[in-house]
Amino acid sequence: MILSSAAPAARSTDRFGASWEGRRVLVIGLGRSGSAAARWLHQVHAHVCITEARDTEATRQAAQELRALGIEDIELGAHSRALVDGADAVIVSPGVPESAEPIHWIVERGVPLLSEVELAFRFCPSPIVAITGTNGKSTAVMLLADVLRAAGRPAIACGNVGIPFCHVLPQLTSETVAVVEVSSFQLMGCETFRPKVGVLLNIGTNHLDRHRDPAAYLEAKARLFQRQTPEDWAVLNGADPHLVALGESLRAQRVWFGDNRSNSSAFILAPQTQRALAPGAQAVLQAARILGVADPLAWQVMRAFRGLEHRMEFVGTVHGVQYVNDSKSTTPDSLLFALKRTPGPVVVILGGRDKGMDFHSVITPLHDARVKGIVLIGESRARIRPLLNGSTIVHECGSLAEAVRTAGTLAEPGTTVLFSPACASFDMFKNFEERGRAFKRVVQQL
Amino acid sequence: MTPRRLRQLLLVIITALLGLGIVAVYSSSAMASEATYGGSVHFIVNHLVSIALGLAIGGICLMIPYDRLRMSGRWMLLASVVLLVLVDCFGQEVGGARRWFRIGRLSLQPSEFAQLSLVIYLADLLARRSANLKELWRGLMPPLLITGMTAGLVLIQPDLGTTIAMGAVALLLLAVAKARWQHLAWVVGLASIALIFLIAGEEYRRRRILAFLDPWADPQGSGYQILQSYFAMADGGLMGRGVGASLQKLFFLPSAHTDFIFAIIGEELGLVGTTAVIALFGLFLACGFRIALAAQDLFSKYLVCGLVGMLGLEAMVNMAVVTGMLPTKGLPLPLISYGGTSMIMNLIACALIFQASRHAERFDPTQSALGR
Repeated sequence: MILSSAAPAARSTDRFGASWEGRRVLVIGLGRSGSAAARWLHQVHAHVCITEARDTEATRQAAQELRALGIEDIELGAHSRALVDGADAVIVSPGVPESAEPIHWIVERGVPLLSEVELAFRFCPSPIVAITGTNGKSTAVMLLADVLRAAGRPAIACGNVGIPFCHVLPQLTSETVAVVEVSSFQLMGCETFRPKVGVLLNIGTNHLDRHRDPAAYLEAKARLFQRQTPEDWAVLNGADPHLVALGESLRAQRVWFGDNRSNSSAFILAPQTQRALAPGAQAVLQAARILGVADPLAWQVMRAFRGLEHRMEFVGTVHGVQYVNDSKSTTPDSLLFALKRTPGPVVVILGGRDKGMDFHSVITPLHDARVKGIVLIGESRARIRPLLNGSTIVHECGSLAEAVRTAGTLAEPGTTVLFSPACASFDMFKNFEERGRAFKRVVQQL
Repeated sequence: MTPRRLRQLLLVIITALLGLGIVAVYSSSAMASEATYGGSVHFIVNHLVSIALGLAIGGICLMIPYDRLRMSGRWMLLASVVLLVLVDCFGQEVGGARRWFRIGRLSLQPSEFAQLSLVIYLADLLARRSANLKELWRGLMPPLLITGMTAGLVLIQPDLGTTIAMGAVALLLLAVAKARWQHLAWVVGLASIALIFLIAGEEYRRRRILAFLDPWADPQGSGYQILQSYFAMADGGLMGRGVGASLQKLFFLPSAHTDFIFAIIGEELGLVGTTAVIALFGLFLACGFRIALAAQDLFSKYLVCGLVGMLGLEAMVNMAVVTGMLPTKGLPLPLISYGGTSMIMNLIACALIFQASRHAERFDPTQSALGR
């Protein structure tokens, strides 16, 4: 009797000693992270209600699963004000825009607004490494988790990489390390979130449709470090002057990576290390050092690391031409990043759903002599084409299969065909994963 | 203070330095050891083995009759010249220099042995030739040539730091033995010119000098190590971060447990810790030179002067490098840094200082076979 009542009571209490038992918590959005948050809240005996604007098969199925666990109050297809009015706290999914109606109601009523990451943080017994940035987050998270595991520290990769932070909470102990990928949207609702190590990889102009201006975006990213104390660590990209400036204002110990010859701070990487590793890998190395993993071991793991699917994934060589799948690229910044990481002559396949992004940043790099061909696909091709005026190497294709074949004819042996769409996939595919798999299938049939 | 008291004080100082060194080496090497050898103790065990070996060999030296020891100097020097030639040809190449032989767990650095032998032999030679040292060819040239040959073999490894250290100790001995100062001035002058050419002729040496003059000019290149050393000591502040709490040893500061261990002491124990180390070495020098002054025969006087000078000079140069007062040189901090051969030779040197001091008490010129 005593045992059974003592254990759950401890779980209902978060790191600040507050009990969540019986508290009314509203979860907005029933995506992966929303569902995970709802499940965790249910486990800590909070009274969970859920509201989701979309009423689709996917959301109905998610609702079904949660009802089976005993979560009753689930609203699909609309948001009703009554739910917000009765809530003690609200968890917002990263997919919900700041302009959504319930967000206004919440701000109006002054209900505490938390992100899923913030919720998980309040219950997380492990030291946390949080990685954010515009590009290369997922790879860095997976790589760091690999390095830590190789060093005998059980590490769990979670967050945006696929498994929500809340979902892995039951597996975490004080011995494990939580390596969390955090997007800037999730940082919006992070009031007390304080990672032991915060990593900011880079700042691009990505997601500007959601963030009004770059300064605000930078500020959103800087929230990662807001609650840190001098016992915590901030790993920053020293090559970016914005981040060097940001570093000045942080309370955490600052550690640097990235090429910047004039950086004379403490905790920078030796020049030979900077030359040998990509910036993302340098960041992982620095974070691993902080967590007590020695350099030789980290290097060993990095050399063996194969990379992630759809992120600069090497597909194969056909007639001397290398095919690279970077379907994860949904912004011009990602395309820039991919171009930088591709050596030698290159044929680029890009295009997809037009999110209204500004493509001017990629125009100059696409006019580079090293770009031997540009193949446009999808809805956005009509908008990109005029920007590339004067270029004789631009081709338009109606399907991905045709695009890959066209790219193959443009590419001489030794060239890389880079599939980095710089646009969302929803015009032709369900998601970027499906798009990437389609690309790989076509390449394999060549 | 009686020689006996001086020896007791010296023993306390050496013990304190060794103790501090053991703590600092373990703290700064545990992570590197964990990575490369799968346990935190690899380097500290090596360090302790070196200390044990040094104490054992030092103990044997204490039992060797003093006259025998004096006579063995020439054979030791001969042996080290042979070893130096061998290491120049067959030694393990690390970072473009051949300085080491690997024997199982330990690596042997003949130049350390050569330095010790040179001091013993020079002390013997100068004591015998003291009457005609003021003559250029018959007095000054033999010790100079012998030093030049030994140091030259070290120079071609290449190891400019140890070469300079050898030359400096030899000069100290010549000065103590009252060679003509005009002669010494010429030697210093010529050596300085040679040094300038040696430094200017090698790209990496030039860069070290430039980095020394302005480390901030190239913070991620040649100035990297010294700047990280500054940061370590700056972060240590007055009281330090506490033993084991160094952050720079997490692979930010290269050579944290060897040549730059003084910076880690500064980070973990603060200004208090570094001041204590300097004070201990200061006391060591004072004790050593008091022993030399109390010595009754010239060989003991020169031997103690040479050995104390050798250790004191190395300590000063190392601390000056770590604090940016001298350009970066690969010299360990005696009795503290990790480093097999160097630790063994340091402890043998200490044993010889004791031996000379004990001899001074027993000394009776009419009884000595070498009192000629």
